Amino acid sequence: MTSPEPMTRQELLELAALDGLGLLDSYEAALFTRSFHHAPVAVQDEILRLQAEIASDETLLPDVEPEESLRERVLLRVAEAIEKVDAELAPLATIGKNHRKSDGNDRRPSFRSSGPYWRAAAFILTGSLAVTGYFLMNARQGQDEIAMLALRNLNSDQLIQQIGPDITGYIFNGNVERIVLKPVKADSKHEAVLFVNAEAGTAFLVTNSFTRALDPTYSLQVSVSKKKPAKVLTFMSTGALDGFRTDTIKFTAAITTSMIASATWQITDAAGNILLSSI
Amino acid sequence: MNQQDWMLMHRVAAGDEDAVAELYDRFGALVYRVARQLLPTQAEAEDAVQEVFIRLWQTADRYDPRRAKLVTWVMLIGRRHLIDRLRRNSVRGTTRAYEGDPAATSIDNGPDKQPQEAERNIRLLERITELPKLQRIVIERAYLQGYTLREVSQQLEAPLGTIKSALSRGLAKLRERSKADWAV
Repeated sequence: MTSPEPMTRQELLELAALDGLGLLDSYEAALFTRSFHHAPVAVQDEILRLQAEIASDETLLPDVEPEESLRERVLLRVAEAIEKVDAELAPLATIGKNHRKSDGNDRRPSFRSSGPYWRAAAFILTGSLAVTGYFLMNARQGQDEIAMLALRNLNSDQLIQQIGPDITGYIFNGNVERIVLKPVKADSKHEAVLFVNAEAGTAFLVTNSFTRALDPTYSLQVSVSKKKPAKVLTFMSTGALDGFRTDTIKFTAAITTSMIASATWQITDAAGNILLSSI
Repeated sequence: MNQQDWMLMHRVAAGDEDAVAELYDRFGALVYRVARQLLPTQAEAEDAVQEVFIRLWQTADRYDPRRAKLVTWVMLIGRRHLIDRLRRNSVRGTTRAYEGDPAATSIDNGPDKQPQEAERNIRLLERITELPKLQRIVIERAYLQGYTLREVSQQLEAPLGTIKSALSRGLAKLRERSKADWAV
């Protein structure tokens, strides 16, 4: 497998602002990150400084101040979110935790008190295991070669670095439908898994071992009841593991939420040949 | 590597109230300003800021100070969330019209919101109108309306590289001019 050449210092600096503002798509952000890690330390420092300067630049922002009460509301909402996760992880969280008696009146969500680091570690570990568990589940089903590849070669951080942080919003989201696309030809090495978030109208496609093409060459399309396929996404390939997010699925027009799993999802090449299909 | 920022985010990940409060005190106002720039009402912006800080807690363990300074990370998470929200609400495109005359901002947001929003972004909108046409359109669509560069490229039927360059140069020009204005 080959990867694109790392970017030059000039290219990195040109894209640094866009990367820092989150304006690059998953593929380009992954390329930028790879090149960043290949760059000399001095260039990395230059990029970090430039991005921080842009991120903290208030000259382009409206001259408004938040109400003082917003601070309390933010802290309360975060505390509620933490408490919800605590409740879900109750069996883990009670290990080694001192129980205190409640008088029943203490209804305000509370932050964790002193010495919570082991619990954070447990939570982080749970997150990592969730990724690994996801892939293991697929591997057991024997359907998903990407899962095996990822499991063998990448931990969750590396996976995120390779195909972008957006993937976490799909792996950890219970509302996301997962669709495995299989090669049409038996000798093909192409692999793909599609994550569809119908509620948000977005999808994330993970591909592997596609022939390298640095222009949008491949297309993801969907069809229902043998109707004419609708194009959802065009994408390129580094020849290795890639991830692409699309925010433009029109479920109301082309496909309803309930049809996602039963629809036919296909990936075609530039000539329109079907390379992979969900059914 | 900034050890203090790294420790702060570890404390945030652990659910330490003081750490979340410190994070808000450092970046809350900045996140709020971006929310006010992108979202149509104060109520929406305030709600979005709360969600952004929940997201920051959820992602705190992933913060890598070798890859980004903390302000960059916070604003990246914040902008992504705000743009997702913008998309969910289907606000962009149909309800926000930054192109051209600044007075034409937010044509569908209700009569009471037009002056407020125009006022909020008036400096930025005035400076944007001074840019070359392509840079102006790309900044309006990508920076203010949340379209991806690929979408802008398709909308304008222009190569992606051209769109990236236009955005990069346009933002650099805007920042230069803004700094010059502030220095006066």
